[in-house]
Amino acid sequence: MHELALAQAVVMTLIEEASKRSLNNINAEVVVGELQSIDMEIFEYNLNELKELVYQERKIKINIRIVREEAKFRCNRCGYTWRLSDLPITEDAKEAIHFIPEAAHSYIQCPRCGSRDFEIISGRGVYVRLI
Amino acid sequence: MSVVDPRITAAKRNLEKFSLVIPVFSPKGGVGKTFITALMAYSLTLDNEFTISLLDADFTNPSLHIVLGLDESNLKIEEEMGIKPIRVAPEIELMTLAAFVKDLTVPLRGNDIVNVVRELLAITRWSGKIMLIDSPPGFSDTHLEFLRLLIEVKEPKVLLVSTPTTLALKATERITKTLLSENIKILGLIGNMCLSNDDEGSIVQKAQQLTIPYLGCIPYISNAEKFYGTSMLELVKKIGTPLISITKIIKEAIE
Ligand SMILES: Nc1ncnc2c1ncn2[C@@H]1O[C@H](COP(=O)(O)OP(=O)(O)O)[C@@H](O)[C@H]1O
Ligand SMILES: [Mg+2]
Ligand SMILES: [Zn+2]
Repeated sequence: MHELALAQAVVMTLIEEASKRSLNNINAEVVVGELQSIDMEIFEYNLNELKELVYQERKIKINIRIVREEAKFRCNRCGYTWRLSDLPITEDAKEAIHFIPEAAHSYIQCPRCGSRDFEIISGRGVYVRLI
Repeated sequence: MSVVDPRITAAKRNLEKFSLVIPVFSPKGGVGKTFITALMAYSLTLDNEFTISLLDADFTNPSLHIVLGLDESNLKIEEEMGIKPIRVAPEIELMTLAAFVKDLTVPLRGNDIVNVVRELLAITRWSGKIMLIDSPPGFSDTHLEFLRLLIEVKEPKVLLVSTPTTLALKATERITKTLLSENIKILGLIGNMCLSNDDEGSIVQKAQQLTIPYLGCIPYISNAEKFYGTSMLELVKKIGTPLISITKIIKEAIE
């Protein structure tokens, strides 16, 4: 599954940042966008396991807060903004978007003008905010 | 407070595993980037020495799978610690957006393209030794993002494709000058759809003028589409010499 790979990427990134700044304690917020529909329980579990491992092996203490972010779109043609839940969406489309959020441009159109030229203004994927 | 993108770390870790990463570039469309990428994949696996990972980076108009004989409606993505590429042949695997968007178009702006490049490189679980990247025409977001990520981990060695036409040769000249001025390695120039010695001569001359290696010329093949799919292997054997020498040079580029 996707969750472990994602958790590994997050933890590796934090180790890199910690060693860049010679820190042995790093605080971060992991923002998980709605479009990346991952299983939060598994993700959190993986993160905790990895954090523990990093502490044992490298004595780097990682503190993570997970934040979910709602997906929002803004049309580049007419300026309309909408949320994912405002539109009906097929299972196939949902799955494709879950892997590659940009696939939204194939499956979703602006509810007002029909354009596929829109920005995903929030909730796209996973990123890490260092605190 | 600063924001970091965990996909970069993951992408780099995935790229590090390759012995060689070859972006196939040509600013001009229709010169045969996709066709040659498919030929090279089969040619490089002829003696079972290497496994090839193909990435179709022509996101808005993926076509490599078609040349490889795959129908997008049957492309199924399997999830396993990320996503698994599609098996094309025992030693060839492919990742393409067509697996996600089927026959729909994907209208993408620059920032979306950067996201797709990072996402695909971060979540795909490759198993090949040599990666060939089939690119869209031009020299913009897709090319720039690949180069940016590759330069830090796995020095890219660019393969240029040109037909012996004035416009394609001009495009080759432009991109070559840019790449060389940025110290990006160019594996060499492949001529495609050559019909005569004069055609080959113009490719050789352009390579010499630009001080990049001339790799060989693929002749014009009538009914090229007939070979799409596993018959590409047959075509590789039929083409013979030019492909054999190009393949040899590519193998020598592996450190
Ligand atoms: N050597 C060749 N002989 C004949 N047709 C070719 C040859 N190389 C490519 N083609 C055909 O030319 C067209 C354009 O090739 P393609 O690989 O799609 O170019 P690009 O990827 O550079 O846009 C395709 O229909 C392809 O089958
Ligand atoms: Mg192409
Ligand atoms: Zn609109």
